[in-house]
Parts: sequence; structure tokens; C-alpha cells
Amino acid sequence: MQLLNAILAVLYFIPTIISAITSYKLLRLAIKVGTDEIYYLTIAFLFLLGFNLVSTFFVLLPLSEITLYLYSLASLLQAFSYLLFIFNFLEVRKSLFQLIPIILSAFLLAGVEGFLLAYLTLRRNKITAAGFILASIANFIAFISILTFNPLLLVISEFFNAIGVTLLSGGVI
Amino acid sequence: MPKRRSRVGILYDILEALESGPMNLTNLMYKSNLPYDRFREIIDDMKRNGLIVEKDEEGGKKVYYITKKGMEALNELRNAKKVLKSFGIDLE
Repeated sequence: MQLLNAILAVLYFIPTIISAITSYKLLRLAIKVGTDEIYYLTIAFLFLLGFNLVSTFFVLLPLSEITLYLYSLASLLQAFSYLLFIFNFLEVRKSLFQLIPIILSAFLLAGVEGFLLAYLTLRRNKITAAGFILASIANFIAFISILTFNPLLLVISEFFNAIGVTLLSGGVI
Repeated sequence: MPKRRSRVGILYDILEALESGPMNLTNLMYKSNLPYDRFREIIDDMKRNGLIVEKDEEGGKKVYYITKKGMEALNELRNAKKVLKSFGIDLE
């Protein structure tokens, strides 16, 4: 098993180096040329680099909850890097559009999770639950603000979010 | 419907055209094959990024030159052509 893990680490080490070199070259080019397309491709490669790096060490470290969490975060990075790659092939290539699916999915996920957490914490700590509800509402407002391109809504959502995270963190003190 | 050219592809064409020598705005626009407003926007961006410079010639004509940074960018774009093409950014 250890031998297999070592082989896997070496296998992951190769794309780590390649994606590091590509990211570096693209970043240098993006800074020089200043076009959004290259910046987004650079970000995609940096995400991929993050995934490769974690995967290289993941197989070498003993399996634990933290390493599993790290691995799942890295898998998200891989998914988002692929999403950015896909957007490079689409005709609509305006800068902000490439980030919208990532932002929307993050807001939506946090919004749903917030309500679930509010339900789970309600009987244990009402302040924390209220915090989760406010933060969750904030995420849904932010989601709508991105969909409608309304920056004012985003500012309002940030107020809700700030109060929400204060409550949910303060509720446990 | 013809495929919309990438911004970096247009920038590459302009840098390549200027590599062989300075050009005035009309010739450069003709080479880039773009409507004026889009062309102007890209040229202004390139000037701001220091890739090209605009100089006044005799008779009030504006002529564009590629800068050292522009040459470096052109060479790096040539080197990165393969990776850019693989991921959907066509330079030509």
C-alpha cells in the first residue's frame, strides 16, 4: 500500500510541477498583456495547481479528518478550474461572467446550509440560530443581487451577513 | 456565424503587424480588420499597458511603434500559443 501511495505521489508531483510552471508563465504573460482571458486561464491553472499540490501530499500523509477536508477543498478547486476552462471556450468572454457561476453556487450553497444550520442549532442556542438565519438571508440577497446586477442589494446583504456572522460566533461565547 | 476573435488574438495581430515596422492608425486598423470603436479601445489599452507608443510624425499623422515590453509580450505570446489554443484562446 505504501509503495502504491509513493507511486501516486510521484504521479501527482509531475502535474504539480507542470501546472506550477504554466501558472507562472501565464501570470507573467497576463501581467504584461493585461487581458482578462489570460488572467482567467491563469486562475484556472492556479486552482489546478492547488488541487495537484494537495493530492501529492494527501497520499503521503496519514488519513485523518483534516486531510480529508483538505482533499475535498482541493476537489472543489479542481471543479472550479474546469469551469473556468469551459468558459474560455464560450463566445461570451466578458471578465465578470466567468466568475458568476462560482459566486452564484457559493451563495446558494451557503444560503441553503445556513438555513439547515439554523434549524439544527435552534434548540441549542437561539442566538447562533438567529445568526445563521441572518447570514443565510444575506446569501440569498447576494444571490439575487448578482442575478439582477444590483450592487445596492449586495451591500445590503453584506450588512445582514456581518450581523449574522457576529451573532452566530457570539452565540457560543 | 463567424467566430468572434479573442481580445488577446487581436492584440497579438496588432503586435505582429508592428513588429515589422511602425504604422499609422489607418493601416493598423486595416490590418486588424476591426470596427473603429473596438479597435480604438484595444489600442488605448495597449498604450496604457506600455505595449505600443504613439508618436506624432510630420504633417500631424500619428504613428504607432511597438515597445520593448510589447516585443517581450509578443515573444511570450508566441511561446504560449500552444497552451492558449488548447484552452480555447485562439491567437490566429
